[in-house]
Amino acid sequence: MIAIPLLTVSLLLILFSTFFYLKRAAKKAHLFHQPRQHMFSPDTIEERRIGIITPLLHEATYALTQGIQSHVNKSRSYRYVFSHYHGDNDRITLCEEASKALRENDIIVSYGLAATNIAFEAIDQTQSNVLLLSAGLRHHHIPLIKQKNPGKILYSVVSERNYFEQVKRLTSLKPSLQHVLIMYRQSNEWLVEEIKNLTKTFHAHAVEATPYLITHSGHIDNQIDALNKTFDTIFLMPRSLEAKGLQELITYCNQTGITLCTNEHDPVVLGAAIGFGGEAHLIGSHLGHIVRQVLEAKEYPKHDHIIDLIDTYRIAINQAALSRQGVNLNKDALFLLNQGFVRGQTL
Amino acid sequence: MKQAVALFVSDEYEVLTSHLKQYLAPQYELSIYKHPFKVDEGSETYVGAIALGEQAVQVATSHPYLTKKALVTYARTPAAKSPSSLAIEELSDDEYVQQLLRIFTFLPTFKHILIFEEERGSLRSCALTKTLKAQGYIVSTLALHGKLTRRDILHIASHDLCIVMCNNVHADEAQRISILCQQHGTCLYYTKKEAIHFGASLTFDLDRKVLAKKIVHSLTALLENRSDLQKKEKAPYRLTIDREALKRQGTLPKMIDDLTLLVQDTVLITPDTREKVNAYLRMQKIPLE
Repeated sequence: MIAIPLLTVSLLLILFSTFFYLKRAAKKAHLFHQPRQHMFSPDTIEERRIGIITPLLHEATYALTQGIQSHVNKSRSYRYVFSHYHGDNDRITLCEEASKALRENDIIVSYGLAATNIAFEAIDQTQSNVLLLSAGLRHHHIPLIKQKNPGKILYSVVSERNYFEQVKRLTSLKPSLQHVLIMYRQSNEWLVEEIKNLTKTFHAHAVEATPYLITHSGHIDNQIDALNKTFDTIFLMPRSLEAKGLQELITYCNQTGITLCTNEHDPVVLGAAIGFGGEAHLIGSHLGHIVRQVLEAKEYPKHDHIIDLIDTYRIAINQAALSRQGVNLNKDALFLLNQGFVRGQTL
Repeated sequence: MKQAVALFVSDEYEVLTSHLKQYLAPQYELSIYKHPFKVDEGSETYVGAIALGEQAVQVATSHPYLTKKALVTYARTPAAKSPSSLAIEELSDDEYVQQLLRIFTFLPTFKHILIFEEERGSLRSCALTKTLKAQGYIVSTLALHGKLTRRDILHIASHDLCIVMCNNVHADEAQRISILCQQHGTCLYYTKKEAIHFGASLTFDLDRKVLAKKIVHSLTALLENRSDLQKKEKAPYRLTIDREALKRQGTLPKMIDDLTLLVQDTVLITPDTREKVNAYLRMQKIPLE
């Protein structure tokens, strides 16, 4: 009577142990568990190509590329290759380059209104499906682009220049600031409004400001002297002078002790005292995020997508030019600017 | 094929070693030697070497083969014996104190300074006390214990600035001191940058990341036989400022406020000829817009 349940229990035990043994063996042979499929190895890295279209290879092009790189280089499954396409300031050449970019890349990025317009034209001509990301645009450019390209999806990063921040920083660096000459070249019709706003911003900081339209790229010193006014600072708007004219202006500023403040970093390398620039880097890092979303997560946009930014600048200071151009930063302040790091500070 | 480089490292340079590994890996094949720095027989394959710490520097500079190669050393008092070597030196005690004094120029109202020492009578602390007294400051010195006494608290309360000189930051202790400083409106300065996470408003310490980059850059320059190399360089130090902590501790003068706003976004440049030529070429034409 006792033997029957004992036999049943032992039989059940044998059955269970056999089952578990077989299950373990099968597990080893990957019958129950799938092998891992996401193991990372250099052989599995795919290549993706990004084409950057700009009218010229310029400081902003490199900053934009670095910004995109800073984001896409984090990818472990894709390797991104960058190519630059420019038209050497010629619209026809730029259009040809844009068509070439559309053929050779997985995604293209245009910087500025001219490059965006031309890239859209190239898309029409080539009937390409490659996604265009546009950057370096202002708010007022968007309706114009939409009007010109109906039915097209606009994926862009829109930014505005932050003159308030620039003036604030300039007054911190040069508290003696009294009279500024704002020099500009009228590259587009919207610049006039920008100059008005900038002048108002200077006035708000109790600084007198005189706008001056550069009429000729040479004889800068004569042009300024002809104004018959005294200035302690020249505020040069972006893309206003080419290298030769700029060097004339730097020499003039060094001789007269006027501070030259520019809206790019390259003039600072050439001898201007202060420069606000590098804003394209932040724009690039936003674009890098979109690039990864589109190419890696396959999230293609179905509607217009506009990212709104205010330009954030790096301030470049040419240490040698400071004293020549009337900026009296003492050694201690220079030490702080050179070796200081402020925790958790963002603009 | 990657070039082989030997790294001699004393135990206290772990963080620096990890940064170095990261920066060297793309260009060089790295072999690490720790104490007792026994170099194997394949040492002639190394194109260069890096030595971190006094003992490591001694071994590398007396090695019969490596002294003939590109050698970058870093220690508090390195001896650059071989003609090909480049020595990166830490700031001496006097240099450190001189740099520290620059910070005080932004805090002109400070007169009473309290120094907490982890090591009683250290050379750096002595140099600091002596210089500060010579500059007209009223300086008191206390030993840093694990526990803050009533006397310590009273001292913190009666001083404008509290300087903590230590080799390691103890989180609890730093937090307690920072709370006391906040309560009594005393500015807190630490010699170790980790303290910034525990409430210190100012720190001035070695920047290990930049130092690692500098070492790799120097090694590459030595291997390329660049003519612009100096035989000795100073290690990079960084002043870290926590504006919020400064405000909480009741000391954010306008001058330092204005400058700290600029610090994060400002880069001081001294361009060389190549950079100037490149900038000129980039600016030869103005873009369409």
